[in-house]
Amino acid sequence: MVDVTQTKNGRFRFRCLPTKDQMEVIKLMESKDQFAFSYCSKLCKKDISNLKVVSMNSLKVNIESSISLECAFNDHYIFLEFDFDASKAETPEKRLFYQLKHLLYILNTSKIDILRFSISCNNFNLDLIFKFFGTNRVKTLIVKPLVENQIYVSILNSPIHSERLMLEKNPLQR
Amino acid sequence: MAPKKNSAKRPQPSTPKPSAPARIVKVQSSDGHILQADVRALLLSSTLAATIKGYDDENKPLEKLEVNNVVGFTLKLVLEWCEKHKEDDPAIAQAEKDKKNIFIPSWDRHFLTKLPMGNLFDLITAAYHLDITGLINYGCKTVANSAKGKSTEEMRELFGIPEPWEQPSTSTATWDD
Repeated sequence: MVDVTQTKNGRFRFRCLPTKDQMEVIKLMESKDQFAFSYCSKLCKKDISNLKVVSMNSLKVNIESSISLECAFNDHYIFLEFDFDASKAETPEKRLFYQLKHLLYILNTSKIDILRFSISCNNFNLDLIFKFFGTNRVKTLIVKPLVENQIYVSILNSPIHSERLMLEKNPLQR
Repeated sequence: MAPKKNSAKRPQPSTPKPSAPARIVKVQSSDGHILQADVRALLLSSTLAATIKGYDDENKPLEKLEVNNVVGFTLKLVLEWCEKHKEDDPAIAQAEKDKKNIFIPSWDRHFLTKLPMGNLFDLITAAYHLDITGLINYGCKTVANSAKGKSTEEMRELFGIPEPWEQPSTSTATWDD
């Protein structure tokens, strides 16, 4: 019979553990470690999603002079900021979408709790942003005072459908 | 005033059983090493317990148990762990199985964390094949603890996950495989 318990080197070959034990290890990790683990590989991401171990309290996206993503978990909080960066090949919008898709996948949801547009949001490609959020569920859409009326209108006319709309100031109703 | 005991979540050792004379048997590893163990320790392994029961049911003398898929070095570690826990109530390990937070007693923490990661891997794999719930629980929790606070890159290194994450470079293509 073949020896099943002799390592050829000193490393911990996680993926060589029996599947049941791999899942047990993942389940026993803290949620911030599960989150970091989900980025290790496609399979890691899939495992975290399938195990439904990461639960989120709220997910919020702010589009203003920079783009930020805030995600509150039970025992930790993530804040990511996306801005123009010449050293990065991807635009801030694409980096946001990348992170959001990952988060929504591992959390088994398509719901974004708050999407907030504020001043200078037109620094970014709003058409791309509208298209992305139009395919996801937005619970609350908040539109803060904006410089240009046409941006205000374009947000309201965008394919983003929210359960709740909060307009802090409508420049069209002067 | 007596100090308050913080033992609500900790596994409690079972009530000491009346000490019976130890029944020692030989255990042979896949690479031919012969070790000795108390049958009470071996009963923590459901796999070995079934074999022992088979001998007992047929009133056959049990002189040597062959463990064909665990090497000597790892088997020695398994037996050391089982010897330490031979008085434990198996219900404790079963109850801990599905818990998110497993408390590792200090002896076990020391025993498991002193092992190089390669040996810890061997031990967990052996525990899986021998079906030793308590050792699987503590082993897996030790591995989970070793990932605590690590970045994705550090985790890849720790767990030997070979392929680096392929960052999307030219599109917003989803990660959904």
